[in-house]
Amino acid sequence: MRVEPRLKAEYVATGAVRLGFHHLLDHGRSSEQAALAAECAGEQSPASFWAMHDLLFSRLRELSRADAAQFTAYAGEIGLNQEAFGACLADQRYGDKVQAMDAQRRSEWGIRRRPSFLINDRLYEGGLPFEAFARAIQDADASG
Amino acid sequence: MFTLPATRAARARPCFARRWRRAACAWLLLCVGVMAAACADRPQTAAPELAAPTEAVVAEAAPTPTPVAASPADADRAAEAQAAAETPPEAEAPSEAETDSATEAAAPAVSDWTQFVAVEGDYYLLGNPEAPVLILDVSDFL
Repeated sequence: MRVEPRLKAEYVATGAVRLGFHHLLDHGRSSEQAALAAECAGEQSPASFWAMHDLLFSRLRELSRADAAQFTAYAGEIGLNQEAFGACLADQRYGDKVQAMDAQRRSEWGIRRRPSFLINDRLYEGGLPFEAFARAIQDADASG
Repeated sequence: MFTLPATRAARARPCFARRWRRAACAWLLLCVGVMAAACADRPQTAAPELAAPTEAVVAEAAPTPTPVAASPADADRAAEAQAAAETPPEAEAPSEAETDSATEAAAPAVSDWTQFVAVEGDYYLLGNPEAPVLILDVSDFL
């Protein structure tokens, strides 16, 4: 189970931590489509990237068989302009960007496991329990 | 019957009027601040063309301006807040010192940094731009 909602509530909401997302494409076409959906949402507004990000994680079980129409329906759920979103998705407008991000994790960071986390540039590979995040955040904060 | 000396009575009336004006100004600024905070607290969705007015409201509510988009409802609230800010109060305009102190008192603290989003380089970032810790989630949606 992802610990992100708790991280957001206890650290991001309070201003202690800032959160970013780096795409990995471990499941081929399905991963790429989901990453493109998030980027195309972000094209309409930065807040929409996070709205789509949250929606995609909440629909995890549907994603492996989701097609463009499904992602466009998701866009409608979060109030996006579906026509613009569909065009962005069809154009693969951010294909190079998400592919480059996926390549970077191997070429620059050597990441082999997912999820992984860079906490103030220190790499943590694999899922972490909330308590491990709390310690890592404390360490990062203390080391400035 | 005891009556105030004329000079004290003359001073008392403007004093009362000043207090009334200060209270009116503080109340007006508090209302603007509350509306701005309400806009900043709402979940952000869609409609990038409406981003500009909301940014102005968020900037009033928080020390750090943040590029966020807004829903049409946000835009309505922003317009109301803007109109309220531009409408001159019925009472005489307060002095600059009075305005400053009232603004400081009315400025709400940021209660939820998850409403603050920004784009830096290739990344969409969520939260306080001045946060001492950045977590980059390197992950796949599947």
